[in-house]
Amino acid sequence: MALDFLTILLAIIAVAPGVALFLQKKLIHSVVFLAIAAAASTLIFLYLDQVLVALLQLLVFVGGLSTYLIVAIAAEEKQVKLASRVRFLLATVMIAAVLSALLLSLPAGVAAGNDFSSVAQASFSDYFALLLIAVLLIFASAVGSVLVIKKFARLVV
Amino acid sequence: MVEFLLIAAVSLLAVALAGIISDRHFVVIMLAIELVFIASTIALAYFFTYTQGADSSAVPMFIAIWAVAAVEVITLVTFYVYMKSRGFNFDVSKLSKLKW
Repeated sequence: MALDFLTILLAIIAVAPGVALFLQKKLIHSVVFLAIAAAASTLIFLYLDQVLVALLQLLVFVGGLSTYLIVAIAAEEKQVKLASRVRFLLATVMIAAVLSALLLSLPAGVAAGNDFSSVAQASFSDYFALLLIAVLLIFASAVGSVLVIKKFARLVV
Repeated sequence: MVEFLLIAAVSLLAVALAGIISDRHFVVIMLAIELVFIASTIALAYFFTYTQGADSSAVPMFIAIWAVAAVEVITLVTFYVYMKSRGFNFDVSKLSKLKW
């Protein structure tokens, strides 16, 4: 019963930020909710014992992409400030407590196929071409982005 | 009752698709596409956990999804800066030209 409740709670936590993303008036709030949705998906991965995938999802989506988006969108916002520091601190403590309680209740263990050595084995042997294409794709788009932004960034900075 | 996780992935996909259909802001539509990627990673993790053998790895497929998502975000920021600097409207219904 507790497991069912946890599953339903995780499902709600995953979907709610997605819904909230479209209900915001300010663009920066939508981006923050996208980051929350990505962070919520890592909780599901932890629940499914996919620890490495959860870690990578957190690094790629929350640490990388969402941060990049927030910084880029916030550069355009003229009035970005915290409404209340006390409220912010209280929310931080409450969210940390709830997430910690959820994580501590998860069963321990790692899925057999997704440990680091098997991923490295698969990525650098069977799927090396896929890895190479992914790296080249990101590198090409990053170089193109730098060239375009360098030309048109005078209104941003 | 782990099927709720699959329902969550499908619901997230539905929310994202509904957002793409209903919203006309360029950036919000791109964020909705990011939500589609997140939903696809949840569905992939679910199916890998409950259908695949223990000796296989789903991470290469995750890497493919993350790579496309990263490129999409880079493209979004580039277009955002470009459109903002040129003073274009972010309403996609008014973007009728591919070249300005």
